[in-house]
Amino acid sequence: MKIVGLNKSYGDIRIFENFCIEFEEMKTTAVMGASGVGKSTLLNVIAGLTDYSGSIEKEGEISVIFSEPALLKNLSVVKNLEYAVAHAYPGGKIPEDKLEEVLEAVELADRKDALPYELSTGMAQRVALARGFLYPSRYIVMDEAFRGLDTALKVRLKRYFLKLSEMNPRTVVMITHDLDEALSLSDRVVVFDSHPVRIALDISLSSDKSARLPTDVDYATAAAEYMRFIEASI
Amino acid sequence: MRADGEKIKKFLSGNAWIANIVYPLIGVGVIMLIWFVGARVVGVEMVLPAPARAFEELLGLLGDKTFWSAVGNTLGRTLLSFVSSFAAAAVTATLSAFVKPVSKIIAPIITVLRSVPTMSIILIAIIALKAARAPVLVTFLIVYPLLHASFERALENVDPYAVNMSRVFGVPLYKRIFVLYVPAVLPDVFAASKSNVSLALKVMIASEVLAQTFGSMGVYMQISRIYLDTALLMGWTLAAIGLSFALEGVVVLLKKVTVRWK
Repeated sequence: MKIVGLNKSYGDIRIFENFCIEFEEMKTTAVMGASGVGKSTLLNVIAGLTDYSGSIEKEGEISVIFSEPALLKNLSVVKNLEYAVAHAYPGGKIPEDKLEEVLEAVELADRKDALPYELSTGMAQRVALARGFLYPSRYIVMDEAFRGLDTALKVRLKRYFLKLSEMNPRTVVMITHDLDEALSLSDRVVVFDSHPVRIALDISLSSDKSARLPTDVDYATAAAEYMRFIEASI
Repeated sequence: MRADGEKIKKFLSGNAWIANIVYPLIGVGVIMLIWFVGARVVGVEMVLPAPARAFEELLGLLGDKTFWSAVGNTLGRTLLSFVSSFAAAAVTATLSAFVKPVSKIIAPIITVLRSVPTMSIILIAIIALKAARAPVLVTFLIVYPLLHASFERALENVDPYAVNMSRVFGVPLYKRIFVLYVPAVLPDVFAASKSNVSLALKVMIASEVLAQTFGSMGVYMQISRIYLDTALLMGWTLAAIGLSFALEGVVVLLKKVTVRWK
């Protein structure tokens, strides 16, 4: 996916001005930066939720995973998935094996008839993850999908994400504030700076993300580079 | 001792029968007591009759064909006004929520309708229309802006994440309307309907009094007032309260049948 000559303003503030970025196919790119810099605006642009000028070159559909599960509270887990996804499959029906596979991956197969109020925060976010990967899209954009969750829950959700990514590889753009999340789940980390947005830091991570540890060289090097940038920009 | 206290507290707050039957009955009892004491203090039935006298008059009315005809006429007109207001509010609130220019056009109309004194609307309607039709228009003009505002707010409060998710996933419009929007606004729609259906009845009766609508509850109340038969007037008032409870009860029942999630 390639964004070329993106322009977007809010009032007098030019968020993006002739901005270009390319996201490598079937890789996960984490987008970081200070609050209000334009990360979520980029997500809205990619997802088609806001108007802009410029072009986005992509081949296929996009699915999204927000920081909130965005579940319809009158529908069960499986009905929520069908509501958002079924129309994208031939005959308007999600193949049974595909549905079971994704629900098994996020360990919700036994909760598929539960209503959202019967789910914990973590379970609800797992439904959102399942929905993002169940939609037959080429791209997934994630907007702080693990925000506000406790550490243990974050670790579990990250595992589910990696498992689903392996099963259904996608080009993922992940908006996050969490350095560990970025370094443990992505193949590349870009850091946005100032208005209009420019890419201040662009770090590639070469190790296999499903087995990557904070003690690995590329993780530790990237973390140090990011912290040096933060120290210099304060 | 403390454990007993906890048990009593739990019994009083957790028992559905106590919460739904006993507590409301205590509330009604308090009203009756105040009414009874008030009537004893005033001591003149023409000014404030005792509750027993009002209930006696109500019982008398229940066996009277004219009473049921008046209730039917008033109820029919109230439902006609309410259903028209509901339908108009549903259409204009939907347009306002989704089409910005429409929202800008409708907003001042709603503000004006909400600001015009009820009495002005009643008096103008009485001049312009027949006695049977004026109360219908008056009730519509009072209830419609309130329902419009409630419905518009309900639509604006639909989870923005769910709305955006539906857009990104390309959920078909009919599914968004019937699976996302309608169920999301139903609880607020029922809450607004419950309070406004009672208001509709109150405005209807007030309009009937002023318009002197033939064979209506309002006009029979006015006749009781002219003859200074306050006990009978209170009997009609009790009937109006009962009718109001019944209308609210129907809305609650419809909500229970329709809204099955928390």
